[in-house]
Amino acid sequence: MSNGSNIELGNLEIYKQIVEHMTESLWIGDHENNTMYINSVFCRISGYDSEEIIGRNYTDFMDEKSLINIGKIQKNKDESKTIKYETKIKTKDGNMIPVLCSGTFTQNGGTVLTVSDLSEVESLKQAEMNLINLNKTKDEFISIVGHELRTPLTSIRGYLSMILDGDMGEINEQIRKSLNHTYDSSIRLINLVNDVLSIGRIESGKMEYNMKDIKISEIIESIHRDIDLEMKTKKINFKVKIDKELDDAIINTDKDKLKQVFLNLLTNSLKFTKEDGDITLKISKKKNKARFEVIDTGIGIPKDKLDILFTKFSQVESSMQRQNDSGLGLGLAICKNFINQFGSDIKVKSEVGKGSVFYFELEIKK
Amino acid sequence: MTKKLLIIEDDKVLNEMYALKFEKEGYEVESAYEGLDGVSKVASFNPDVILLDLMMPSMNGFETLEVIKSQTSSTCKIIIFTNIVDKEKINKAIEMGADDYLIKADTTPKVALEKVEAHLKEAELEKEEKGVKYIYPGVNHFRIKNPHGGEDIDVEINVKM
Repeated sequence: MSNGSNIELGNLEIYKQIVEHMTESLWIGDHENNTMYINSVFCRISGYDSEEIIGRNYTDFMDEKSLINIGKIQKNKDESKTIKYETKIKTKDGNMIPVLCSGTFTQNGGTVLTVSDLSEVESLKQAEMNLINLNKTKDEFISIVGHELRTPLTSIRGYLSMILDGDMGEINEQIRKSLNHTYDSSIRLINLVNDVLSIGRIESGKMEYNMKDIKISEIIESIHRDIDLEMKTKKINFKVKIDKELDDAIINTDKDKLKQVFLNLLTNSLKFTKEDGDITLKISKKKNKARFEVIDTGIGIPKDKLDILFTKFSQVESSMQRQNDSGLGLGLAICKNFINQFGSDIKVKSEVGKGSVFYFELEIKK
Repeated sequence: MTKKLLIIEDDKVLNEMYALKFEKEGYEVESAYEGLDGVSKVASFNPDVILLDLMMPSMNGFETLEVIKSQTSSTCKIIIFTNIVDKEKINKAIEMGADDYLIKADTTPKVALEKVEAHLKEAELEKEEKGVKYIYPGVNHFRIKNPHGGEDIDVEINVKM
């Protein structure tokens, strides 16, 4: 530090400017607790002008009972301790404002107090409580709306499935084709509602995980069964490659949720991969972990969109995606949350025009 | 023998849809649109299996389940039929004596039918294990397993009406 700075710091005006501009209010009193100095923040809180209060005793504008604390400050002089206590300021217009005082002594037996307005803290606390309540109402709203939507959707899906199963008699091919589309749309709508409910449960901490030891091959077979037809319908070359040494490998996971992750990733790949394209589900051994990869030769994701991909309601617009196929952008956020819950993280590599790889690793139990 | 199903579900459309499916499959179906009506039909209809909704006005599924379990002698299978995905609530119903559950939005009538059939088969096996199937008026012959091991025991029961 240069000599010049030292001279400036020694200047009383500098200190005056500092205390005038500090965010907390300041009161300095003499050995008889008469006011020697207050800063502008103290004036704002108390409603008094500086001239009205200089010379007046602490007990004129502070709760008398708190005078005992000034005694404590002076008593602890030798230990150089700061004493903190809560009390109230009697403002000029007769209000009592809760404050937190933080006091220390001066060389000549006086006291310096920094005084924080607790009513401001309380209003912040109140605002925080309001936000918490609002969030709770939002969660309840999502839950109720979700359930109310699911009931009519159940009958739409149910009746359609009965007609398609032939319960209502024979139907011609054209009607079957149209009803198949309607049925698929009802499933998509149910899945959207389920996604909204899932996010709601994840955010309110109510999502339950049913962790069990399960064979990797068992989960993969079940996914294969569920998605194979859709892959064939869209003329996609779908392959499942699993390392031989993982044949009997066991992981500890929530089977249904892990399955949901794979189906979500594979359905996404399906959306963005053209006919005759390739989608591969690859599982390989990496030390004591199993690495799961969903690889496609789809349109790929631009670099600047990779970061937002896993945040909720994020969507990467694309000409390949039909308007009614766009979804809510919740699927990947849910996937990430599930994989995080399994103690891992989901990642993506992608190149526009070439394809994408979504991957994560889970620990092998044996 | 015709299998008997009682549907306790306040949503009329859903109730009718499931009734239609099970009737087509040869079931005798009775519908109740509220819990209390459901309880009285358990006694009068004597179903083999019940599909029980949880969220119903006035008397909800839990209360209905409690009354069925405590006030009637029915040993029928009870399958909770709900859109509540809260595992805690479903577990509570299972603890109260329900045999299984179905999430409505994730189920088609065909899936519900498969589940009901599986439970009825299980109930049938349970009865067989106990060594008693049906008893008719007149002389009934049974062969039951010897609980102490060894050869099976032949039983003859003469039922007089």
